[in-house]
Amino acid sequence: MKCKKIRKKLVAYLDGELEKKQRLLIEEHLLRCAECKKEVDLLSKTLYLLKDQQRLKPSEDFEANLWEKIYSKERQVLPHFLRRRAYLILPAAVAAALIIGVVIGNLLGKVVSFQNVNLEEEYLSSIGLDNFQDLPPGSLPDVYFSLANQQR
Amino acid sequence: MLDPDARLMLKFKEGDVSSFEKLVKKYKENVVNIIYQFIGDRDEAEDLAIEVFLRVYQAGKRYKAKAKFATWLYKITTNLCLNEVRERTKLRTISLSKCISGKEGKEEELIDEIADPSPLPQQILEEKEKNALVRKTIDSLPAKQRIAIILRVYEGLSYKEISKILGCSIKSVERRLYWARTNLKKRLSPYLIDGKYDGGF
Repeated sequence: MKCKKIRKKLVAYLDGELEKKQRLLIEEHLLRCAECKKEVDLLSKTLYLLKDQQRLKPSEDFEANLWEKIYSKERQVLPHFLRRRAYLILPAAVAAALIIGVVIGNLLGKVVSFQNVNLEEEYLSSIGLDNFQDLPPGSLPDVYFSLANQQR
Repeated sequence: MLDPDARLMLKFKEGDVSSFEKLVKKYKENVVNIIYQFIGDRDEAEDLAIEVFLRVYQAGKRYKAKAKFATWLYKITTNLCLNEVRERTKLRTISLSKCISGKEGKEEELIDEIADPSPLPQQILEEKEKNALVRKTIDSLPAKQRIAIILRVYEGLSYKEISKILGCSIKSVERRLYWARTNLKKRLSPYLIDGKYDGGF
């Protein structure tokens, strides 16, 4: 194999991912090619430089934080029968709100009109206007008009 | 034969929560480190690792032991990492990779930038500088090369396992790792010729 082809296989060679035949070809090449040997050494050193990187330990409250998240998600989750029909929830909520609005509006309207009738009656009696609608029985004008009618 | 961790997951599916706890205990460090090597931020790595295990928990009822548990878990982890990168790319206007992947001379600027001015002993300073440069060099790799090298170098996975996790061919994994290592070699060359890492091969 030529150097160009060999170099493309060097990483897989270092990672132990080549078949025996290819591995032997590369090893043979490296024995007689100083440039490819230099290349494989640099690639190998790169690997060690990477492996030298700090490895993290998860924090002590990792599990506690995980369970907190699991519980908070579970609280948000809808019951199973609703989850399967989640696409219906918004239109159903809008329709329900409209129906409730219409029913409540209707009831409120009735209560207000009933209250208005009562208020009107209360107001008339409070200012005594009902006294002018009919002659109060037993009053002086009532006696006068009844006598006058009898004389006719 | 069924992988023992997949068996634990099946027990969890049947309602045994302690099996899920065992899996978390076993894999949390690996998951945190894959994410940390990928995004380079400790706190975010831990938050995302919690998200990974939350997904495992939520998927418990649907779990089918088709592959090794670790392969399935790392697939969730890498998908989350790649999504995170996509989200960040949308938000970030100036990419770090542009700073570092430029022409020669940029690396010197980067070394100046990461040099810590605090009065530390020279050796610690160099170590810190080197680690920061390695960290930033890993960050500068394209996402697909980066995740492949993390799974290979830090988790020691075979090309076949990586191909299953990333959903690509073994040849594609080989190519990604070749380019990743070649790029890293170029960028880290100042630290490769000082003799410290001679014993590698």
